[in-house]
Amino acid sequence: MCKRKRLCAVIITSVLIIIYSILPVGWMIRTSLLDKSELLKSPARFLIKEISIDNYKQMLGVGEANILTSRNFKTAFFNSVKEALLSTLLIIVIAVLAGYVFARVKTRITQILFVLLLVTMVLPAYSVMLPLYRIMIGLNLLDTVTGVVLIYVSAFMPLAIWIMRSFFESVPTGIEESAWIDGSSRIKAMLLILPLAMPGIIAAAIISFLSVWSQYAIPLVFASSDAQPLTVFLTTLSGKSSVNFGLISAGGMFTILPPVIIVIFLNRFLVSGLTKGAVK
Amino acid sequence: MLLFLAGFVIIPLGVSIFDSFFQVSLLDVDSREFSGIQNYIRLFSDKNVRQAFLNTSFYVVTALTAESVLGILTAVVLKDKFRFRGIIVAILILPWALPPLVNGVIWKLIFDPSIGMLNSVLMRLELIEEPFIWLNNPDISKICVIIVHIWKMLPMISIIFMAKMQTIPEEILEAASLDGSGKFKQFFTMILPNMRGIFLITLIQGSIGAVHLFDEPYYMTGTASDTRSLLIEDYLIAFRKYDLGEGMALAMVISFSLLIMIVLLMILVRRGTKDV
Repeated sequence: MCKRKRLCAVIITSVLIIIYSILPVGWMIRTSLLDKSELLKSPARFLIKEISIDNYKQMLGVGEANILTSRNFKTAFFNSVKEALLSTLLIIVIAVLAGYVFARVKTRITQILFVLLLVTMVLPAYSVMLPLYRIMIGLNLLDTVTGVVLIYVSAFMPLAIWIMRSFFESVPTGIEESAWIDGSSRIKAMLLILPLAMPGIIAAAIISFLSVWSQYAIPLVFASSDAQPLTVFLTTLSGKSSVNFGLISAGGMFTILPPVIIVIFLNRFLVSGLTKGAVK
Repeated sequence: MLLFLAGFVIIPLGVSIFDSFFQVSLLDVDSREFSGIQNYIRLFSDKNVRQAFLNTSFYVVTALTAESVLGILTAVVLKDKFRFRGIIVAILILPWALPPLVNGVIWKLIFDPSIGMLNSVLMRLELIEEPFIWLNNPDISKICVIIVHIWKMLPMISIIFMAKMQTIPEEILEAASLDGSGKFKQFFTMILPNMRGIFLITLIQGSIGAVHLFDEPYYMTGTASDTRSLLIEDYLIAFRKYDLGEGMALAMVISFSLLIMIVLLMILVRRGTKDV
């Protein structure tokens, strides 16, 4: 009896979760595949008879399309990719080095530094956003990819360092110690255990990537036109008077593509990264 | 790393605190005028700021409650192995991975009065006759916004709870059930007391998330005052009214309220642990 009840609970929860996660996204997919006349029918139909890829064509600039939209879309897409990849790369290099030091060198100074790092994580990015704006003007980095990348690195580095530290702590010290005895330097010893910390590196990398990819408020202020990422581009699609939901949905689909791919193929690392720091 | 922190976090923070006592305009950042606590006084007497403060408080309270209750429930079901658990967890995490702005887009399509999914379903089921307005309705727009936020945060909270529950040794629970304690009793006497530390972490994460709410209301309802969060208000003051000084003062107020809230949570959870 107990087994049965549990099975029921599992099935019900699973179905609820599938509806919970997929239905809202599914509705956007549906909307992106409608053509204009179908779109405005109310009440909306659930299953569509004719699939139209007009919205996607317009985005990519295939066929007769608004050249401005598709050009802006492409720029924004590549901006997003550039910003996310560059920031992730920088964050990981810093996080591996710093995480290793925090995991292996436990002196009072490193411990104080680590606590400081965690405090900056709690502070909202907004408390430093406005002065950053002035710094960015001063450095002439406003509305450039470099500028936002620097901000992202400083914003998401603490979390990555935290994750890397807990992964390094779970790697036994034996390998490094024998390497020191053989006369290799600290850095060489660290490189030796990098493969063992690989799951942590992947976890920290995808969490950083997703965080950067998701940003909207920061680029809205710091990269509003030339270095504009996809999220900011999306909001430019809705005009003051009319909203083309089909086009926005198609743009949204491109925006969720990388996160969806990561969730499908790398969800193991995502889950371990989310829980590693919290559960000890 | 230290250089980064100093350059992008600590120095700006100092400048922030400093500038919040001055009258600075975004258009001309070099001319400044000392104004003491004028900025702060203006903030607290501003009707919009108070409204935004109430809105954000509403967001924090509802988000934390819903995330904790639903998160624990989901975690209880998902903690034991079953066949497709990996896939289900992967599906669960999807909303968390999506950009909040796109979540706003997705849910705007659902709440839209004429083409939205919600109204279509309700009309098909003949529960309502006329399209119902969700987002531009001051009574419920806040609830719509916070649903979208919870939609994103709940997966992460559930997964953290689940991972913690899995660390409770199976033997203890088995021994308890041999002693004749039921599932419910087990849950309240063995699982919940073990969760206090993790509760603190999820509550902190939840409150940071809710106070940082910006993208969803900004996209879904624009700057309407009934959904405007503190951060949107801050953005408007600094970048639309070009009043950097007041903006920084508000940013300071938000940061310190958040810090105080976190410290309070820590004390509360600590004290709860001592009682047991």
